[in-house]
Amino acid sequence: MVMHIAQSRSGIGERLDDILARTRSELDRGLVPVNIFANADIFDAEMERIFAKSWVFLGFESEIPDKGDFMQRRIGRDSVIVTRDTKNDIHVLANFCRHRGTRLCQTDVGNQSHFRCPYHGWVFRNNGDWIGAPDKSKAYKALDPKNWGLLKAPHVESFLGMIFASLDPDAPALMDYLGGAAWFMRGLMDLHPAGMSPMGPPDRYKVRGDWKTGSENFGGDGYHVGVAHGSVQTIELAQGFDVLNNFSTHYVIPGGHSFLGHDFDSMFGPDGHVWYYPPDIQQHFDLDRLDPLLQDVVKKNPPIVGTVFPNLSFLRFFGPPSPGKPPAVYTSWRQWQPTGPGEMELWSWQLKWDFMDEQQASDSYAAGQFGFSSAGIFEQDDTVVWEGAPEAARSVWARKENIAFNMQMGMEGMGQQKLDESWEGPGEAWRPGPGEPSQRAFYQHWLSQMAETSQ
Amino acid sequence: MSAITPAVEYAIRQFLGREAMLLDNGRLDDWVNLLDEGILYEIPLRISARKQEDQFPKGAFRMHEDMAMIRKRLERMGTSENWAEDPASRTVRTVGSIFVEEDEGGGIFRVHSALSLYRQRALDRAYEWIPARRIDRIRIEASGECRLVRRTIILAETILQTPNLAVFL
Repeated sequence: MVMHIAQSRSGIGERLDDILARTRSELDRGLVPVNIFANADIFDAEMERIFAKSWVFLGFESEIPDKGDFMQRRIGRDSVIVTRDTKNDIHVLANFCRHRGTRLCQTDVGNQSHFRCPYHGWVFRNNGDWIGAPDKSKAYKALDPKNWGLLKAPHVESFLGMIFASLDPDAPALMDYLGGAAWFMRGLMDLHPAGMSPMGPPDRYKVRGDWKTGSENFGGDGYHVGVAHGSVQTIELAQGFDVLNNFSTHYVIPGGHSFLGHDFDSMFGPDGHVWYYPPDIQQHFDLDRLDPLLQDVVKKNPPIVGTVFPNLSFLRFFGPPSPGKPPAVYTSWRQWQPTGPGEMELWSWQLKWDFMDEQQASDSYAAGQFGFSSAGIFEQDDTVVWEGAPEAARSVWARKENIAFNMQMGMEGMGQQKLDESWEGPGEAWRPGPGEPSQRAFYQHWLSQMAETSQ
Repeated sequence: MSAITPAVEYAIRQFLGREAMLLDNGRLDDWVNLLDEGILYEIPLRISARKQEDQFPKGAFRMHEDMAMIRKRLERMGTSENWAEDPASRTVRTVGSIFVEEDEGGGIFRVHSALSLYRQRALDRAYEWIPARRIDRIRIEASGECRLVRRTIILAETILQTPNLAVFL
C-alpha cells in the first residue's frame, strides 16, 4: 500500500483534519503549526474553502474603463476574465471554453465584444452568454444556450472603484463581508470624491513564500521593519524604525481583516498629520466626508498597512522619488496570489489620487516603486525572508518535532500591549506595539473558514 | 551623424563585455563609474497583449532610476542588512546580438543587445534565469572611453520568475 507519494503531501499523522485540529489547539496559545505553509492538502482546501468562498479582489474599475474592455485576473489559482459589457455591467467569467476547456483569453488585457474559442470555434458574448458555434444548425440544433454559457461568478460588486467577486452563491453582500474593513478603506481612499486609481497594470513577481505570510505580514507586522528593512534606515531613506512599535495600534476587525495604525505626529512631528501628506496634496482632501471617529484615526493613527481577508493588502508610506528630493506619499495595493503550496505571485499596483497633477503622480509612482516593487529596496528583502516558512514546513525534522511558529507577541504576560477599552470604532484596537493580535486573528479566521466546510 | 565605423563597434563591444565582467565579479564601484551622471536606467512594465506596442502600457515601469537612486542601491548593498543578496548571487551575464543601430549625435550611439542573466542565489541549487533585451545609449568620449547614458531593459517575462530585481541587468 502506497500511502505517502509526493513529498509535498502530508506525512504520517498529517491528514488535513489532523493538521486543522492541531492548529486549533495551538492557536489558543498563540502558536501556528509549521505544517500549514507547504502542504498540498492544506493548499487544495484553501482553494475550495477560502478562495472559492470569500470575496476576492480582482482589480479596479478604472483598469477596464470602456465597454468591451477586459482583463485576465485570478481567483485563487483560477484564471478569470473580468469584462465590461455593452451595458457597462462588469462580469467575472471562468477563462475556459465550455466545449473542451481551451483558454479563451491569452492576454492580460484587451477589448472584445465576444470570445471565440480557438479550438472548435464556440463563441461567447463578453457577458458570458453562449451565442454560437460553427455549423450551429447542423451540429447543435437542440443545444440550449442557457446551459452552455461561460461560468460566471454569482456575485460581483464594486467598492470605492475596486472590483470584488465571490464564487459562493450564498455569500453575504460585499459590505457585510468587509464589515469594519470597509470603514478603514473609506479612510484610506475616500478623502476625495474622485478617489484613487492604479498607475498602470500590476508589477508581478514569483515569490517562494506562502500567500498567508504576505497577508499576515501586511496585516500588522510592525516588528520586522527594523530588522528586515533595517538597510533602508541605515542608508537614511527612512527613519523611526526603532520607535515604530511604540506608536502603533493594531486594529483587529472580525472576518480576518486588520490594519496597523501609527501615531504619525508623535513619530514625525506636527507635519505627520494624515500620513505625512504634503500641503499641496492635503489641500484636496475633504475629511468631512468621513465620520468624526474616522477623521480622528486618519489624522492621528492612520493605518500604514492592512489586509482584507484573504489576500488583498495595502501600504501607504512616504519616501523620496529620488534621494535628495522631498518625500512623496505612495499607496501600494498588493495581492498575494497563491500558485501552489508555499508559492505565490506578488501583484503590486501603485495608486494615485484622481486630482493629482502629472508631477505629483509621477513622484508618488517613483517613490512607491523604489520601495515596494519587484526591485523595491524594502520589498526585495521580504521576498527572501518569506522563503523560510515553506522550507521549514517541508522539513521532516520540523514536522517530526511538531514545530509551531511563535505568534505570542503582546499576549498576556508578554509585553505592554493592551486592548483599548475606550475604542469605539469597528473591531478591537490594541496598543501600543509590539504585538501580534492581527496575526493571531488572521489565522483564527483562516482556521474557521478551513474547518467550517470540513465537518 | 556619422557612419558606424569598426572602431566604434569595437569600443562598444569592449564596453559591454567589460561591464558584464564587472557586474559578475561584484565590482559595483567600478561599474558605476561606467555610468553617465545623467543616466536613466529603466525597466518598462510588460504585459501579454496581441500587438507589440500594447505590451508596454504608457508610463508603467518596474524601475525608472537616476544616478542618485542607483548610488543609494549600491550603498544599501554595502550594508550588513542586504538580505536579498546576502551573500551576493553568483551570476553570469551573457551579452550578445549586439547591434549598433544609429549615431544619435554628440558621440551617442543607440545600441541593442540581448542579455541572458544566470542567477544562483545563496544556497540555492536551482537557478533563476533573467532574459532581457536592452536598448542602450552609449557615449564615446574624445578619449575613446564609453559611458552609459541610458538603458532601457525589456524583460522577456511578464511575470518575473525571480523573486526580486536586486541585481543590475
